[in-house]
Amino acid sequence: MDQKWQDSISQLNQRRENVAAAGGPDRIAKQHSSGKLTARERMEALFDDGTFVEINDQIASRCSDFGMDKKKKPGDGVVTGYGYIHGRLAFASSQDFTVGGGSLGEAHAMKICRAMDKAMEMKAPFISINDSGGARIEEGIDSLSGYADIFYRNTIASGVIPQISVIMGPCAGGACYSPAITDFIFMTDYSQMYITGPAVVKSVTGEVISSADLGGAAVHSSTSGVAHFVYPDDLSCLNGVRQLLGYLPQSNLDDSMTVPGVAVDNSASLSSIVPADSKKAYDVRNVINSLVDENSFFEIQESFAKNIIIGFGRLDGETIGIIANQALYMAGSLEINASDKASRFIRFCDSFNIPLLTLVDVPAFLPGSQQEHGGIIRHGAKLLYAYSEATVPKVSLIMRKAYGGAYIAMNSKGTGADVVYAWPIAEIAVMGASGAVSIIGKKQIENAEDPAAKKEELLNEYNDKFMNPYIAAEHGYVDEVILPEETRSKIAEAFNMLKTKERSLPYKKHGNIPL
Amino acid sequence: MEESLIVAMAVAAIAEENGVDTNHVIVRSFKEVKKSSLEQFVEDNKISYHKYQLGE
Repeated sequence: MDQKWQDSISQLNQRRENVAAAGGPDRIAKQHSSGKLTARERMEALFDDGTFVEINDQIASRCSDFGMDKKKKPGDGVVTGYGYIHGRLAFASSQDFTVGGGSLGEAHAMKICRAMDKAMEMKAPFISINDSGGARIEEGIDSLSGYADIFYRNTIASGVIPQISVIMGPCAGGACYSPAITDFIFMTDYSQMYITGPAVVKSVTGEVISSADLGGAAVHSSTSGVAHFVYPDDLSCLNGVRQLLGYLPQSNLDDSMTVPGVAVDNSASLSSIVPADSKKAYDVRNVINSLVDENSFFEIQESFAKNIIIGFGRLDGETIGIIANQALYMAGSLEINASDKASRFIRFCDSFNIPLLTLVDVPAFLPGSQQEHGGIIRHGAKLLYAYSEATVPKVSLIMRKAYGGAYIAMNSKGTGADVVYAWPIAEIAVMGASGAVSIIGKKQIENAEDPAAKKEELLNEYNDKFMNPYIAAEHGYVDEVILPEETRSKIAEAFNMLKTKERSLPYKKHGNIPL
Repeated sequence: MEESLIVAMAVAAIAEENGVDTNHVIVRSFKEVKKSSLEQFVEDNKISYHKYQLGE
């Protein structure tokens, strides 16, 4: 080997070492001492062992303002590349807080965009790990433009490839909008997301609030609904991402993998799990777990809008999306947050060819001025829109209550459900007996010699006539009334039959969902 | 257990898996595979970590 070869190889090795050294041992130690992994360690934890390939490691900032040319920024504060998760290709970016606080400048954004473009071309999921102080101020408008380039790609990729954001440190200002556009947001306990931080909030509004109370994981998972999953640390969080990806297809042109598991059929226990008295609560998760493959239910947004449960499960190894009213909270009624939560999930499943199972036990849309003034009409409409628009196989089981507009909104026959089952205890009506009798029997009760007895008589008449599934079955709104012990086999049969379903929508640029 | 014994057993196991008579195996050199930064972090901090695999 001649000298020029040796010098060139040494130079390349040195450059590689510089990039791999990231922000240096002190900053890495600081990152570790705060319980966080480095950007490359996160990639290693995300991808299958030994499969991560870094790309564009030599990209550097062109900015020389404010002495930027003197500051070393190996990799420009972000690691990008690809690898395999469960043996399937995926692309990712991981912001490096040890390099310039992971701040985003022109080159940093370009690296992320290059990886996103490749993910789109390869039709593979994209995972964005966020740990950044925000825009690199020294780069001015170029850094803002970099964000815009990412947001644009997030939007174009939406519904084409699964996009997952992982927040593992600060994510502030405009940077929040990339995760917000993506399909799922994971947060660690020590991460934060906010448009304006506590200092700006104090100076503008006078409100004094901590970083965690303003935009911590607990707030976003339970109050704002921004975060879908929260984990205590980086390693468990990245395992969560791996778990989620196991349910998803590579793109909208693909189907989810079949993952053989242990089939479960505890349908015989359902009559014990669900009380016939529609006023009694129960945990609908027990219904879900009685029919999906063992340990396969993966709940999403479990701390937000607890009155509705959403998540993925597997039936005979195949992914399904599950939406279920949760009688434990607000008696399972629908309100603004539950409508938003379920609608977005339905649209995700429809985008990525994941069949939908809806378990119905819903008394109503929650009444009150708070809901009306908060726009329940607009938010509730999303649920109707999402179900109506979805062309994937849609199966419903009406377990108990299905009243009024909420019945219609929970994947009713009229909004496009392929198969609707109901248990014999199901009550499908415009409203509950008490409310109905007080309206339609008002005069009769007032004029009766014994109003209480008359009310009781009318209640019994209403219950006998309407509070059952048979009128709906006679009119074709329920396809079959089934026994609880038949539940799992009937649902599995229905999804099996619907595998080749083809339903297309008329040509349009896109619909106009009430946002 | 002695390090050399562990290495000898590993070589024998690999040879057997590949249908090679261990008497005919000559080990010329070893290359120590360095722990990755993540593996080192997990070890240093005594973290119980197992990467999630599909089907678990």
